Amino acid sequence: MTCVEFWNQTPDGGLEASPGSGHLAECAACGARWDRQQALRAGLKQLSAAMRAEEAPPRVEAGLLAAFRVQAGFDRRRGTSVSWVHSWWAPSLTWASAAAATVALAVVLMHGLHPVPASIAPLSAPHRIASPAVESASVPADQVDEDAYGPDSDFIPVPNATRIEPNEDLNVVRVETTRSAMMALGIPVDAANAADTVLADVVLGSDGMARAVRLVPNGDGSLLEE
Amino acid sequence: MLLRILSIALLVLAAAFAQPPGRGAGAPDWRPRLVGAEPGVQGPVVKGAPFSADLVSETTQTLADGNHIRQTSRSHLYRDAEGRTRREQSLDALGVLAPNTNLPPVVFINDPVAHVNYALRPSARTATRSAGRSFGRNGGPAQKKDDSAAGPGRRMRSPQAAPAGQNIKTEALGRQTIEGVPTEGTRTTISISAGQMGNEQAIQVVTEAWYSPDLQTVVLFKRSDPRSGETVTRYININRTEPAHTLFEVPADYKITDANGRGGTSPAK
Repeated sequence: MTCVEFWNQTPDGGLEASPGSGHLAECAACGARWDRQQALRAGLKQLSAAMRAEEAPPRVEAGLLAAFRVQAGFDRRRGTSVSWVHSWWAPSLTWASAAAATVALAVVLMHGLHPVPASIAPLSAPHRIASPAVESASVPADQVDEDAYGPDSDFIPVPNATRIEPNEDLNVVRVETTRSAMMALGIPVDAANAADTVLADVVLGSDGMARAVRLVPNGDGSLLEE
Repeated sequence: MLLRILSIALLVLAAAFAQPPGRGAGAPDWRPRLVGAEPGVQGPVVKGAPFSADLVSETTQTLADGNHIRQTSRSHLYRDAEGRTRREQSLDALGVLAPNTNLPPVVFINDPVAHVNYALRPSARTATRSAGRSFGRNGGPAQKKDDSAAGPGRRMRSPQAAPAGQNIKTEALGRQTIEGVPTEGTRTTISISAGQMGNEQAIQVVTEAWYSPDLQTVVLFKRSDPRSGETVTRYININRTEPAHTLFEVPADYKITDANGRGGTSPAK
């Protein structure tokens, strides 16, 4: 066994017993290093035991509390004693803050129970649809009101759907569905949470059949009516 | 102390709401649902040809293993003499997006006279309003050109040169009366030569369209494409009387929101 192999096999940097301790009898350098590490280990243990009873000086805790109060804006009079914390209205302020945070969190969570998030992209009809390889399902750009639809449509044609005709009536509905449904349509979504719900905009052709779909991205936008 | 109390309160609430009973896609009672609707782009305006009819579209796709996928969509369409349209659309053909779910129907109103479009959700008594957008910006009547590949409501495709590798053949099928309306038939066969898209053999896409000059629309449309399957779309129960004007208005008790420039909604002013 070489020196490198010995130290690589020695767990905890040599502070624990080594399976290859026979090397120590053969190598004086490693033996001396091993002895130094054992001495260091014993010293650290001794120091740890000695400091177990030590505590931070009271002034340190008081200083930290005072600094916290000043930073949080609770204490507008610098130098106020620590007993301020225990004044009659401090618990009231504490519980009032907790109640306010509770209400705020409850509102957020309750709203979150509704499948429509507060911040979703606005529902919008497509101005352009990603083109499949053959017989593009795209609406000719020169026949669509670009100003109304914006430049960032990301609809994807529904597999095997009839192509969109240039003059076809198109409407859009937004549905709440599952990630797995989007995956079935070939939309790239995170498969880890396939049962999660997502919002999807669906382009309906004049025959009522789904032509294209997109995953509603998060972002700024007004909330659709519920 | 403050931080501790706040942290505990937040943790307790977060734990309480982390697993809401009966909600989410994993819950037994969860179903896909309709969240919103918005009118998109509309086809050319057709004036002087009012009618109402049911529109039924059926698609059948045959998979390689012999399995079939069938979908049927139904809607009711109204059009008045001024070119306004009202489409009462069922949402039963969304396929995998809403399986085994009865989503409430939506209504799309296109009013080229007032230059405004609406998407109505009768179940929620709400409507989304957007500025009228149509492919025929001038609002002129549609013209009959090469309509062989256009289905009902898909008026007029501009004549286009056949893409390289494709051979398009059009033939007249004569005239026949469908649902009490005289129509003219056209069959178009598009042949995609072998190798054009990696296909070993030529692919033939056959469409058959029966166009009504009176209604200025296709009332029966069939399409056969080995890639996407068979599609049959037809108008039935055609009624050529002028629909009631109220059909093209939003009921007074509906809450109307305006779609913004990108289609989002904001409270109507």
